[in-house]
Amino acid sequence: MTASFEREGIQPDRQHYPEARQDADEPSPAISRGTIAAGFEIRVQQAPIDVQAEIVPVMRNPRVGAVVNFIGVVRESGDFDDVVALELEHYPGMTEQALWSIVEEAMARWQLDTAKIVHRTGRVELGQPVVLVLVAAQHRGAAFDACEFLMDFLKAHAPFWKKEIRRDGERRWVDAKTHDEQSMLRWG
Amino acid sequence: MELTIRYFASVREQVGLTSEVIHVDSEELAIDSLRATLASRDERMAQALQAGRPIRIAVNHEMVGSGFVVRENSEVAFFPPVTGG
Repeated sequence: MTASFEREGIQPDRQHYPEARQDADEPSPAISRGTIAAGFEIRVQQAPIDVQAEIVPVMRNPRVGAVVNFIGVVRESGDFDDVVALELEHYPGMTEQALWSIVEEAMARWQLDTAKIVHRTGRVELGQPVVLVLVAAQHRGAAFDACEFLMDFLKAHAPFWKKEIRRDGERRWVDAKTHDEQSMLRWG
Repeated sequence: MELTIRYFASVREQVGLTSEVIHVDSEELAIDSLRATLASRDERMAQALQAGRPIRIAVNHEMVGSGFVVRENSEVAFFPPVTGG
């Protein structure tokens, strides 16, 4: 479920590019089109996360002075050593609702121009992004705090489950960490 | 009441089912009673849903505590503590 809006940047000397198809599995190639992105969006996608494509349009919004992002990346050592990939499962229907309520909570607490969460599902290779949280505001205080809040909330509440895949083919569900639930306590 | 039960992640693997539909005669059912009833059906279910295991429960896409009472046709999901991000 997305509710982003994109305003065309005023670029009189640019060629007109045809409108890219908004496909749930493909992020839009907004960099070359000169679009500005603002607003609030959540997305769960099978396709790899294109961090540049998500961030550049947000930076173009002339109201925005501060952009903060967090990227969660697959690393080689978790509960297992020698991890080569993660597999992400989610609860279709509940996941989107949970991510929306997380974004709405951030919107209520801080003045934000953009808050975006993009989360992978399916297999994600070592070194690839699992989640991107992106926040834009006029000033950095709100952007830093809201980004951290969104991640803490997501870790505690978003219905995803990760399985580590080891180089030798062994697979193991990652255990939830109690400090993730505790991190929520500091936000009141 | 008709309840659609969904299982996710390691709970799903242990139960051996992604979902099932059950019919309940009473007009209300406490979630921990539902869990105990599902667990009582066979050894496999008992292992998966036993009271000591840290299992989270959502009813109609909202997380609920063990004291929640279901009063209408609902989707009830059982899953391990979440590990997103």
